[in-house]
Amino acid sequence: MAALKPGEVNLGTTIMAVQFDGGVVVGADSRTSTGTYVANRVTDKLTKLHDRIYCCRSGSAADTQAIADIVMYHLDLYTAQHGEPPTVSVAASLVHEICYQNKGGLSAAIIVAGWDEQNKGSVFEVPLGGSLHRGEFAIGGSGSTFIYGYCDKTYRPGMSKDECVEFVKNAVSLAMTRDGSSGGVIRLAVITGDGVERSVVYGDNLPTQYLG
Amino acid sequence: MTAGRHVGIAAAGWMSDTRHLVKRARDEAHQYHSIYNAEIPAKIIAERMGMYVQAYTLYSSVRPFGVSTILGCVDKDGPQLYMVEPSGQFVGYRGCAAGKGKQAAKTEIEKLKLEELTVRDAAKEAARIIYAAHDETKDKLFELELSWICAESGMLHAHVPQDVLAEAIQFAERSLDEDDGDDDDDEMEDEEL
Repeated sequence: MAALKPGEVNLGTTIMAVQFDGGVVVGADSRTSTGTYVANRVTDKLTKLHDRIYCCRSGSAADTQAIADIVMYHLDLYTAQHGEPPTVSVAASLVHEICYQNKGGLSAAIIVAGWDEQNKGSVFEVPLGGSLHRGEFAIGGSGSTFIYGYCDKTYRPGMSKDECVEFVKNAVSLAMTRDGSSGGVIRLAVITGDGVERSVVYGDNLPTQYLG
Repeated sequence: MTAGRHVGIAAAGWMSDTRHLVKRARDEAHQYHSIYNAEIPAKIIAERMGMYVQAYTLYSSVRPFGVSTILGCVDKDGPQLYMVEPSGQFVGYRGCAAGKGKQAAKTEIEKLKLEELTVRDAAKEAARIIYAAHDETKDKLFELELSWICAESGMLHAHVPQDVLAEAIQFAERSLDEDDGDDDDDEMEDEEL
């Protein structure tokens, strides 16, 4: 597996996506670091792949940006050829294909989530090796290791949109406090059939928890 | 012949070219699936086959295909029928025919109420039309093949079961006796709904 090259920017990250009836909530912290130095404290790791499909990027910033750009191109082509927007599954399949075929050279773990006419909200995860998993929610990045227990315990199938937003805020906030490579603000996007709502939770508004 | 789980091909013309095109259709269906992780839609496979066939009209080193192919497909938009001609033209139909007896067959198809037909009835009508379009004065080997994609076949492309085929042939022969039909050739033909 490709280690970080000298000078390469890493998204030591917390990212997550949760599906609910009629859409998905995606969230991420905003820290980009080179070693211990914070290269960008207000990064946007939620990247638009298509009108209603987003991805959460973790791993090398350069690699994941390049993958997102390539997938974006393929999805535009798909829309032109099919005369209709792609499903989230198609987008995830493209990410998976690129990540798997170049697994030796890439350091990228990506969550693909969004809304489509067929399946409504859906969440897919493509971790480091390039495999593809569908789930009701997904977490990723270095910070996610701290919140597996919290997420497994807190998540319930059939949560409402607002409950999902709270869940994402709490989980990412918890990860940001424990993980040195995660921090900054929480960026959120709620994707439904009606469109995409982006929002930000600033540092002074983060959910509070025990801080020692 | 089957090109994908949900795609059937019937062809009129040279069998050697047919087999080549069916292989191409299978490759296209497979390639689409491996990239998008979804079954290829009818429109896309028809377009890709059309592009491929058209390329063989462009160069002096190759000849055009000597075959008209009918693609029967059921995708998320429901049942669809496309015909790809040697020119590369591909057109969607509700009912179509290719080969020597196509004129006779087309006039018969036009008389049917396709919207109201069940698959089992469509199988019988297809058999009847092919029998009617077949020229008995030519002493050629004649065999009817029918395939379909429907709920009964699990939405997969498959040959119709023996009993349905037998019933269809019986129906065809009976109606042939009734109005003493005539016409052409040794083509195979299928109808999907």
